[in-house]
Amino acid sequence: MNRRKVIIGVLVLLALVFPYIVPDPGFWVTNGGTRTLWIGLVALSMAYLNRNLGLMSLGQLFFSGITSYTIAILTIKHGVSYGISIPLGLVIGTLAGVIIGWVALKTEAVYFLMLTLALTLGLYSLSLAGESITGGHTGINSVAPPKIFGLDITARNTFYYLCLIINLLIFAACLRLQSSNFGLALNGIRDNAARTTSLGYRNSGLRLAAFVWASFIASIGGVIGLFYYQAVTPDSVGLARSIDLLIVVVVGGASYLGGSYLGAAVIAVFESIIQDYTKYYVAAEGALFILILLIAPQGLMGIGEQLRKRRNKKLAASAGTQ
Amino acid sequence: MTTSTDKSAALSLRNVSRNFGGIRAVSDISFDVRHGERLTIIGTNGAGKSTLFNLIAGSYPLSAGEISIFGEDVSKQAPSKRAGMGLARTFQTSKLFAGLTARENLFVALHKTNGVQRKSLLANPAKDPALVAESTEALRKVDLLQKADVRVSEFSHGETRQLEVAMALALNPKLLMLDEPAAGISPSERGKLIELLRALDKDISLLLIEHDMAVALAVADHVIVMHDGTMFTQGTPDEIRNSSAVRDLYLGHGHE
Ligand SMILES: Nc1ncnc2c1ncn2[C@@H]1O[C@H](COP(=O)(O)OP(=O)(O)OP(=O)(O)O)[C@@H](O)[C@H]1O
Ligand SMILES: [Mg+2]
Repeated sequence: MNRRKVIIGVLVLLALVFPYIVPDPGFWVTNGGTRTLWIGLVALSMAYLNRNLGLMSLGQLFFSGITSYTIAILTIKHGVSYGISIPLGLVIGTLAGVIIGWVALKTEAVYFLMLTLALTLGLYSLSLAGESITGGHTGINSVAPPKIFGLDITARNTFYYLCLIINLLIFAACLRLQSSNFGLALNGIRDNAARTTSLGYRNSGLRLAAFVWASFIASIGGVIGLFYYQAVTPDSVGLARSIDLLIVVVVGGASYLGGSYLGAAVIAVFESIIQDYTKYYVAAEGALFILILLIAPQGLMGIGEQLRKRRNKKLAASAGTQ
Repeated sequence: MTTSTDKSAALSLRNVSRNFGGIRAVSDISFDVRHGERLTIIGTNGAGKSTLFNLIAGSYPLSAGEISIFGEDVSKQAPSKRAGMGLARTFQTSKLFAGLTARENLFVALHKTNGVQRKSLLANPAKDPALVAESTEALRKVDLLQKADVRVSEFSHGETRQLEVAMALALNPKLLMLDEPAAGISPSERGKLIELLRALDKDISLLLIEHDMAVALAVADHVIVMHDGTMFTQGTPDEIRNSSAVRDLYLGHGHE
């Protein structure tokens, strides 16, 4: 447990000094750092669902997208101030989580996956079709960054640190929830719903709360994504992006919350390096995915546990032969 | 045996039946568990013992009859309501939370002690001295304290059985129902279990299902023998031990 705290501390420290130790900060702070934080946050909302409800969602970009589009439409097209459009975007993204969670949580496993996939595809085609509102396939562009006290928050380091603070707060909240009565109850429901019911827990209410929390995280990811690209397009909510996220979560380790950031870092670095050879991108990403899962079937975060199990097995075997 | 429910009894069953399709799993069972009594149900495989437990706990609805706990008719009450009245049970096949540690399993149970939520959902039970003390006490009772922080998925079969008992005991029940707690555990664990059950607070009424005659007869004040959903016979442990009808029943079924 303490070793875990040390590792988290070291990683946070590295993240804090990252813009000052990385070579070529003009490129890597944005394409490595901020990008990892943004992808990591949306992936975290997926990993949170998988860890706590045992459900893999391909619909997290739906909530991000709803939020991004709400803000962009209100502010860029209708001149509403960010002070109103950003909170409203978050509320709408989160409320969408209430309605969709209420329906989606009645399904299981592959049906849940299909339903959330349908959501993503639905928003994708809606944003393509509703050209007068969403800007069609070019989306809504030149989204001017909001200014706080005259400060451009999308300036390279400012934006990085802003994203870092948001991610630290949300990740800490997730860890806190994990060890709370709420988190334990969710794990209990996942392992044995009949028993939590007979203990007096209201399973569906707790699961819905977890789903809504994940939708909220994804919505925050939508705000970050909007200002990261200073644009929102159908592609940012499309199927390809959702599959990318699935890869991020699985590569990082789907049952570890921290795995989201590890997976996001791998993908961000990989994308940055390969961007000059884009026609090989999909094939190369697939190869990387297979390679990592061959070495670490439980994802990168699972390697520790994997080694521990192997060592225990060896110990048990050698104890058996003596 | 009276036909009206006994108000002073911890548990009272009147003409309780349950059908599964064409199978009459429990047929017209009536008995009382007096306050502080230790009652054991034995019987052949498929006799309907576990089904009876599920009816009492409220996991299955009744097909007919009436069940009262501490004088209150609960025939139509939800399981959580019955838990709230002080009923705690274990399951024949462990229904623990495999992904959580032993202590966390207890936290999940303790958070809703007797069906009532005790602390905020967002509070961290590991930082609550009262909950930590209660879980420690429960684990100590079944000799699992050294495994408090081990995930249940890594437990041996015997250990899961012990933890089942600890989960039920932690809820501070007034009516404790154990479904074959000794099934598949080692002889030394069995000895400890008998000791634990004998040392139970006299305020707790105990309803025990047990295949293992040694355990059943060591703990019981009174024994009910079930067969094919019906009550085959009942009596004191000595009467059951010496009953040729019971011996024939068990031999006839080639019981282990
Ligand atoms: N959920 C169910 N659906 C259908 N039939 C059931 C169900 N539960 C139990 N039964 C049937 O009811 C009968 C009684 O089963 P029960 O499990 O109560 O017996 P038991 O006395 O506990 O047996 P054992 O000693 O093997 O645990 C059996 O014929 C069983 O197949
Ligand atoms: Mg049974």
